[in-house]
Amino acid sequence: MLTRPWSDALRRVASATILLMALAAICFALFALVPGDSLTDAAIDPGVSPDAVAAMRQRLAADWTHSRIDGRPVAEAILPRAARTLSLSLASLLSAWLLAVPYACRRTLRRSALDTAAGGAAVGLLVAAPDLLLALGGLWLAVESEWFRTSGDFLLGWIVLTLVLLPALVRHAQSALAEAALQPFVAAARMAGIPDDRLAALWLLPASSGPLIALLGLGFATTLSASLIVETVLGWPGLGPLLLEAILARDYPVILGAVLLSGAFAIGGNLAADLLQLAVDPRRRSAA
Amino acid sequence: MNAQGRLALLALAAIYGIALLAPWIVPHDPAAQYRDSAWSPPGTPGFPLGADGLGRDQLSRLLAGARVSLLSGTLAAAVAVAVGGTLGSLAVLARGGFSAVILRAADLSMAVPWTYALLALRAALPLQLPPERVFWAVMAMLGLVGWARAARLAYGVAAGVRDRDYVLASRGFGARSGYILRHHLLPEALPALGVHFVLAAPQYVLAETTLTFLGLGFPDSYPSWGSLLAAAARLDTLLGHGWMLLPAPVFAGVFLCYHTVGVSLAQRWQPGPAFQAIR
Amino acid sequence: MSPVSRPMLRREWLGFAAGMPFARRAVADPGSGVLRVAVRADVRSFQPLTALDDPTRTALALCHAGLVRTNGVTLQPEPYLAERVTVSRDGKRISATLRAGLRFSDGAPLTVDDVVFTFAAHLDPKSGSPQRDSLIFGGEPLRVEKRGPRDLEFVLNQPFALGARILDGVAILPRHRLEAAFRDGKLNESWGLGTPLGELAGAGPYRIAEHKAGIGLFYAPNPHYFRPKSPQIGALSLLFSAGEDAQVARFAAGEADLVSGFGAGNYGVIEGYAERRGLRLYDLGASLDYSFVLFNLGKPDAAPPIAVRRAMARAIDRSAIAKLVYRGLAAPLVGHVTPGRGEWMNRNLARAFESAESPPPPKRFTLLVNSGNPAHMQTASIIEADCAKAGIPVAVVALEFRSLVDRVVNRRDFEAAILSLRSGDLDPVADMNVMLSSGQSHLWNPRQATPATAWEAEIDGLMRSVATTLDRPARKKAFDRVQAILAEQVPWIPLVSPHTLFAARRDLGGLRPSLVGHPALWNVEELHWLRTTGR
Repeated sequence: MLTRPWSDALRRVASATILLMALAAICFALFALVPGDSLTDAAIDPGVSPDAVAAMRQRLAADWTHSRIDGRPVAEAILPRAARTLSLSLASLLSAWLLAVPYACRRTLRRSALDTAAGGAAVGLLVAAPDLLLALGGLWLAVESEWFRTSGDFLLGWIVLTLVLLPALVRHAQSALAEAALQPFVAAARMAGIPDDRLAALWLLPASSGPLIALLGLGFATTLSASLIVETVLGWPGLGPLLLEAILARDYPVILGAVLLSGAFAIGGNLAADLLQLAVDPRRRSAA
Repeated sequence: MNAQGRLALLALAAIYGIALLAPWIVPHDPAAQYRDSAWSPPGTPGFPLGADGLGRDQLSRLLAGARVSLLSGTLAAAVAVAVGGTLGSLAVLARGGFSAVILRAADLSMAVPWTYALLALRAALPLQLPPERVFWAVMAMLGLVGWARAARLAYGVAAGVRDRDYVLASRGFGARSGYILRHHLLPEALPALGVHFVLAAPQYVLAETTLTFLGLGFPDSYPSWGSLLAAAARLDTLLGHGWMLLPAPVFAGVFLCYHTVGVSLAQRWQPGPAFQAIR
Repeated sequence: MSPVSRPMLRREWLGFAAGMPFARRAVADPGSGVLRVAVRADVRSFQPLTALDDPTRTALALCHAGLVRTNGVTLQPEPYLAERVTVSRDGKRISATLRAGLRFSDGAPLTVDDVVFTFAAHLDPKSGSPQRDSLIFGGEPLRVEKRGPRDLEFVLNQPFALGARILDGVAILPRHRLEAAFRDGKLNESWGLGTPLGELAGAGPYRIAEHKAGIGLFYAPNPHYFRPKSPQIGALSLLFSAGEDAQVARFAAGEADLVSGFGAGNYGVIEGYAERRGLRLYDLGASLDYSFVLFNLGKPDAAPPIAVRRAMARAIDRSAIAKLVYRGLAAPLVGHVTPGRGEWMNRNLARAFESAESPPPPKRFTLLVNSGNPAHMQTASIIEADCAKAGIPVAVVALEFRSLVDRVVNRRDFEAAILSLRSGDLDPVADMNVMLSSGQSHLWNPRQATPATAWEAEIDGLMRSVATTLDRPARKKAFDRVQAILAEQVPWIPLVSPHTLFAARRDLGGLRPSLVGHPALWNVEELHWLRTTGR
């Protein structure tokens, strides 16, 4: 695969383009089927002339480059917020990985009953706690403690989003590492007296790279969707509050823009994961 | 299976047993409103877990909601993992055009605004529908929506195995694709998929509140775990009646049991007891 | 840090940020201090002429002024940009004299030409003004005539009961800024969010100094505002939160000074912090909002028969809804005219429910409810239980809001639904669009060419006389009759009216809470920080 980088890159770009076009087609089909439009609520307001609503509706229907809520160009509505969402998501993703992988290594190599029970219960609680509840807990903490601002506090958003992402990562990392720990060379290294830290870094992690990298590719899409809820509750002015309102208010141009953007991110994430697999695992190169 | 696993399995069996028997053992009709007892805290005579804002018994709602919520989450997660795992492994095996189609379809399904698809679906359905039937159908559908992640995960894991020596050797001995899928790829992807299942199941239970919002769930009077948690997840309830969160630990416990069972099953399926001994 | 001293400290910090160290001492002086208002949504445009939604209207009302303003306490019209307003005896002519020396916030003089321009803009269908219909009387648009350098006369084709109040809510727009757009028929695209703020101008107490999309709208005092000593608060900001919980949390944490539009549950949340954070809650009693069960009378056999609707009206325990769903912060209703509308409420309606005829058991029908409104969801549960007790089988179906409204208003494919509406005013004319059978908001059977039933025809006639009669007792009698007809025919079952609630920091002075418009900001130029000595 790496021997023909250009043709491969071209093929990837072509397939991504087709994918985004298909995505747009699906969106247009859904927009046509969904009941209601951006002016539905104005239509029952007794203080609003029906003619004004009809005129507005006509004007909006033809325009796919501006938001139907506030008339701003779609890119202007989405991009600054996407940047904020990205900063929050990337920071949380990074911290969640940095916490989850060492923890999982430790749990795999050195097991104590107490550790297992306590860690398991904590992670279990986090898994079962809905994202919304965690975010509300953060909000409560901000009101009560005065350590954080209730609205637009990066630090609070970061902590809560990390907590939201953490349990799934821990679980997956543990499973991947446990798998790797069964490989004969790990046992051999262990018997040879290699200390745990070195063992984890040089044997265990590379051996479990496959599942972990697959997870990384998926992680981005998951992080974005979790971020939406956390942002909305904690008043982080990213894509979350914008999309929530846009979905409910049928702001189709903005939705289309956001869907294409997130589609591009999903493709990009998976592409990065595939390339990383190739880089890490030489066996695949020869085969592909 | 180890002792932990056995204990968790027992607990799960007990929980499912209670859930199935719920209609006969609930202390009150879960929809009955004892309006004078609204917001009774836990421990009030007659309301061991308290009563909600309309005076409905929380314990009865917890028990009655268990049946549909436990089954639905499990079902949706199982559908997602089965469909996704198979397709993801197939994509590894097939390579070329078919593989690309599956992977692109997974990318596509992860980006589609499903909210709108469900709203459009609701608009197309008749208004009066037996809520349970809609719910099953939609849960199955949610499972289908969720196949993409499982497929991506299975693909990522299985692709690493495809070209290992023993698989190549197996091919060399004339093994067919189906055999390799069953004996080499799926077993390799299984632990990751198992974890995915355990993580996805509670999410699907909670997805029910989103479904209710979109008009495809239950009305407020119908008890379910999703609605119990949704009622507690509001600032005023959290601050004024924090005990409304009592169902949450139960919920967490159930999924902890799932996980423990999953882990010990995985250990049992693993080959090579010789290497396990050193852990 | 002790909790009591905290708001003070916060304000010092804010003052510091604004380049005013020692803001604490400066607070007592007029023209200083920041008022931060927690609101739910961002503005959608800067054009008051076309604003359809409440958040935008509220935000722009601070920058604009009309000839007349309704006093939120007395609910009587008061001259505002006009110095004097008189209505002729026959109610068909309103003369107004502008104050001397009026200016827009950009410094340009505000003249009678701007007033003529403003009304022409509202009346031009191309502008897309939502208020256009309210400026048409007896089929003829309102005529505006210049009578002198500061004198104007408004001529109506037929008398209108509200008199000078038709001028309320029409913000006078600067002709010099908008005439080009008006000539090109593009007023509806003017003053979008991309407009440089320097191109906006209004005659209200504040001007917009900065807009941060999704974060806040920041105001500075309008230097040309006509009242000599106001506004008293030096800077004002609207801070956007995505949800009610976030909005209330922001206020309870002391990061905002004023909040409104929260529900009964969050009233309790703020109450919990009131002592600690120096907050004060205002409960103004029943608002002008009313929730109701609506029936689809436009399609034969869609709604249950009248006997069932009456039985249902008797069965539903509205006090339970007010007590359990709204925690006592709502008034149970008999008719749709809430206690907040004072004397316009027909207090003899209760009798309509007494005649107990038990209907034959009806077939099961569906009751739609907005799944995004927890209060309505719980209300539906109460109704379901009450009706079941009375032998009326109701199937509650929760739908997303816009899907629901689309079904009710456009597709007309429903049997019953829980909705709520707000009367824009105490006066019955506010209900015109709901009561008239031709109205868009005549929800049980909207946009009828001719009234489908004799009682709707009678209501049409009564409402027209209510609008055009100047004699108050006659109007009251006609409107009482309208309410009695509705109670008898049961096209809807009014449920409750939630109280108007807001909360502010304890040291915010000058509040004159109002049921109409924004409860605390209608007289924003009078708000001020109280002296804080002794704290």
